[in-house]
Amino acid sequence: MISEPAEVSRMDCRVNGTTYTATDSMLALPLAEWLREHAGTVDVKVGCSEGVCGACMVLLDGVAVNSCLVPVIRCDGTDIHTPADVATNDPRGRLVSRGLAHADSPQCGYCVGGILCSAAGQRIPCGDPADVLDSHLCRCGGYTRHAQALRDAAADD
Amino acid sequence: MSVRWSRAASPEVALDAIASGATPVAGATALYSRAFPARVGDKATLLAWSPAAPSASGVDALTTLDALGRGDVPHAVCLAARAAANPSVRRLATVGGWVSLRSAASDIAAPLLAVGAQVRVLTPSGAATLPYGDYLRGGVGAPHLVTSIGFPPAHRSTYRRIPLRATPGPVLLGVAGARTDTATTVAVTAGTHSVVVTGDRDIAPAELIDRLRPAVTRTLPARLLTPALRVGSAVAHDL
Repeated sequence: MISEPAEVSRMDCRVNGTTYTATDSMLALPLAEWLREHAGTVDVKVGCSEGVCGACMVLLDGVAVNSCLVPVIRCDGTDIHTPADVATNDPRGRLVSRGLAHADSPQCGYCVGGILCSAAGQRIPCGDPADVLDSHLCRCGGYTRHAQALRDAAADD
Repeated sequence: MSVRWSRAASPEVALDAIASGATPVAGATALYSRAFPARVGDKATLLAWSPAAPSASGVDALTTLDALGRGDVPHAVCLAARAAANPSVRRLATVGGWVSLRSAASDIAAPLLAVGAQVRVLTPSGAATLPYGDYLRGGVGAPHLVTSIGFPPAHRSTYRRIPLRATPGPVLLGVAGARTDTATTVAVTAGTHSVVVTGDRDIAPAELIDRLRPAVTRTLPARLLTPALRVGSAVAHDL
């Protein structure tokens, strides 16, 4: 016998250690929009809104994802960390954050939060640490300094 | 946007929801992308079961492209998974969604045609398996749910792609080849077009290209003829 699909009308998740609940009309929102408008984490930036630029990257259960592509309903029971939290509380994030600052890497800074999350979520540290830039667009063209900062941070890790 | 959501814990439950008008949502990368029309109406069902690990014989539809690219699957499929989109999209997008687009303009089309992949679907009348080429041409009607992709054994396979961003029309030319115990196959895909040619296991690359030339001339736009044959020749020599 086939059971009916379970109706879902709320979602609970943790954002930077604090529990939040989303209900009804919020469930179809892109996570990026919900994080900014309802969880108040405006350190999540929105660029292209279709998974290309990487500005909205967050850590979802430790995996770096484009939050513009994730519907809020997919986040039930998950642990979300935004760039500001990663830069402060994640050991690897702190290293990368320091590396980016030391290399004077950010110009406008819009892409840097996403790059930080990508670097912190890099699960298998093999190959070039700057490969995480494959998921990011920097409109200022600061790739050389970003890459150097990521390599320096990996060397210090 | 007001959407009634449900959570499906198995393919059978998901199919039930789809049959009642719900849109299946898994990786959700097509949900907010401007590259696709809005796909979620007023009902949606979240596909929420754990996929089995990819193997040489097949891959679950809910496997992410990231896991597919690291999996023990035919090499051509692995290369295609690593080439698609960008790393962050690959961590979300699923094989089922990729295949369900039924697009020859995607990276996965040529490898699945070349290795002779089988698409396993669940329909209201039960489970069914059909060749990927038939599925690509619309071989299964709605409602249905792609549950897994099966791979026949292949000794060697490879995939090469040319992004054609500067051209109007198709933006990706994909060429894949596979060699099995009995046959060698090369598949070329671009836009809505696909070409598959097959020869004996030990067919010479030049002879395979001689068979490919009339097929791509008939099928592909003229401007893609030279790149298709050039990449096809490289793939034939790789096998």
